[in-house]
Amino acid sequence: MFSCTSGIITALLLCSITCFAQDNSKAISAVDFSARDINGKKVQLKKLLIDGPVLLDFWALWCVPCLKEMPELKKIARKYQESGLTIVAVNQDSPSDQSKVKPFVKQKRFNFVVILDEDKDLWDQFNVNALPTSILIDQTGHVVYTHVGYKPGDQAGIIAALEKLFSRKNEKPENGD
Amino acid sequence: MAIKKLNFLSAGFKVQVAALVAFACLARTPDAAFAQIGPGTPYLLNRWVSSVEPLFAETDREINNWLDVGYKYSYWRAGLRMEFHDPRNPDVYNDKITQRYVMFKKDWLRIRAGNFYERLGRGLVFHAFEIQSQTLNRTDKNVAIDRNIDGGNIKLSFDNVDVTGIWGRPLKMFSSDRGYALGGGEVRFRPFSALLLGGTFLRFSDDFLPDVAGLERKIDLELSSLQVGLNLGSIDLYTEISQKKSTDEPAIPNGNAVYAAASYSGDSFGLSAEFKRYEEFNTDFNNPPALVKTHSFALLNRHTHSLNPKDEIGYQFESYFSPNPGATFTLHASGADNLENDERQRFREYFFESRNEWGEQAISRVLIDYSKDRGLGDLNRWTLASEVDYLLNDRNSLIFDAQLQNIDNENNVDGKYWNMLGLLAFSRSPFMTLSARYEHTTKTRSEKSTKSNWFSGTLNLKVGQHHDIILTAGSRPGGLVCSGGICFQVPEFEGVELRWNARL
Repeated sequence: MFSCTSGIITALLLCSITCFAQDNSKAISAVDFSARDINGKKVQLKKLLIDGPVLLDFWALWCVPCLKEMPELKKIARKYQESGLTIVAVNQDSPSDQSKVKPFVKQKRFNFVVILDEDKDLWDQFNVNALPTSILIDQTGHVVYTHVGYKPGDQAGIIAALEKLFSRKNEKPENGD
Repeated sequence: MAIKKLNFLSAGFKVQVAALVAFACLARTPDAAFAQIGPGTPYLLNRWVSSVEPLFAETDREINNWLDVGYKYSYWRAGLRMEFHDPRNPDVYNDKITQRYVMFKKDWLRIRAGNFYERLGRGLVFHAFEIQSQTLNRTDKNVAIDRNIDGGNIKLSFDNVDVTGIWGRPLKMFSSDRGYALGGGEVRFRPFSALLLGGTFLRFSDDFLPDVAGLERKIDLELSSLQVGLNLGSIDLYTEISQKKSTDEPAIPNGNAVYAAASYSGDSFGLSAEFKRYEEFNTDFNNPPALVKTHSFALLNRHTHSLNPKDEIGYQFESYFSPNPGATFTLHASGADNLENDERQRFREYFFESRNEWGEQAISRVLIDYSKDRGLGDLNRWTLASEVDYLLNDRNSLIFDAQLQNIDNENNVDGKYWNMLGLLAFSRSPFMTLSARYEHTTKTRSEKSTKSNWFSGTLNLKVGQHHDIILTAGSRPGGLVCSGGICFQVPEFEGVELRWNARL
């Protein structure tokens, strides 16, 4: 009885969400977070968003597609640095591999903020279920692009989302006039 | 051939069908046009794994589904997980809500009631985690590794101090049993940014453990640890010492553990060194750091060392060198000595990996590995593995993966044997990957499985930003699979498997 009732409620909830999803184009609010980076410093999403959009990239050292994606993210970070983009690499390695993260990132000269998601708080908060996952958050704190996995060429999706975001930002003052 | 019927009329199955219909609606949602309903936002995550294995008559077909659904509003968040598994097993999860939670999170405060995962320190004392979507054992139906705690936690996170308190009942390894009650927490203090001082204390109580005479008795275990970390810019040091105290000595002996790590992070050179020592530190609710490399090549992961926290000492060194942005060389050495059945077991592994970019079009990875592990009976084990990514143009690419392994195993009838793996994949970004995989072994096979060749094809489709569909047909060998530092056995497979991951 319990499972039947809960099942019907869940099914109704699912259907209602998808129906509403057709009509509403507003992006999901990204809940603010604060976490420590690999140097022990506190990083807060709200503060990073003052400078520009934030791209969260969930990755691990054992994840081959993640390691293939990161050099492309490095190029993206360099390209959009002046536009205020910050890339936050959210590491998901196990305790055993945690001490390898900083040496790896430094010697590859990745220009990202690197966070150790020790208690999977961000994994949970952003509903991640596979690596790598890229989530682009605009300056109003809304998720505007999500991509799971990586194949060569997938970085074009991130670039397109960023271009769209920056062109919208540039259009706004004109519309305001 | 006995064919087991699926339980199509159960409420759980209907929910999963409703979920699929709902997600199919979602597929029509334009990319980046997510829903915002009323003042808050919903979230959805659904993982569907179904398979047909006509050659394995005892199960034939099975379906596993995990549905996570929740809602965020302001600083509040609530959600639940529903699981459906068919065929069923009364001892593990079935067709019911297996997790639910409510959470408040604002600035420095996070309070959560219900199910949650947690890690204290480097996991020496406690690490509650989940590895998703892995079918572990066909007949036992232990699907996925889930070690969630049912209870509550509170986190206070200030500039210099982080405080965590947890209480509840964790799931035991490979079980739906929540026998233990735990309570405790951790304080981490940073008097200045370069120094970390921490302390952890957890108390576990098993109220209903029968002793040899059949009488119930209460057993308490206390685990505590002290942590010291030093961050000197390019040099990081970390040490954690821990002890286990039992109220039921000598049946459950007291124990201790030490974990230490040092690393150097330079511009083109990085080095990490780790040390572990475990004495009587085995419990059935935690996996402390193993210091075993999680490889990305399948054959290496299938033959890996298993930690014995009852008595093990070990180390791991890894260094990276990038002479230019397009090349990375990795050198690795790890070892462990443990006592298994009163016999000293020795594990050693050394490997060298070279990763090179060849212009804009190709990336290669070559690895040579030597290891020996008396615990597995492997006297000598050589592995040569390579992978090449070749970019045809901006969207299309090819992947070639070839692995060759020679093992001299004292338990194998013929001693030495070979394992081989070859994979060819074509990817078209961002929609599709099509791959063919072949594996061969010369190992003397057991009566249970006489196969020595496995072939499978996989189609991976991405539908918008919300859906990933993976269809595999053919066969694959069983054995160890390692993910995120945790290794587990997966069964041999022959049939068709469909995986559908949906995310909103």
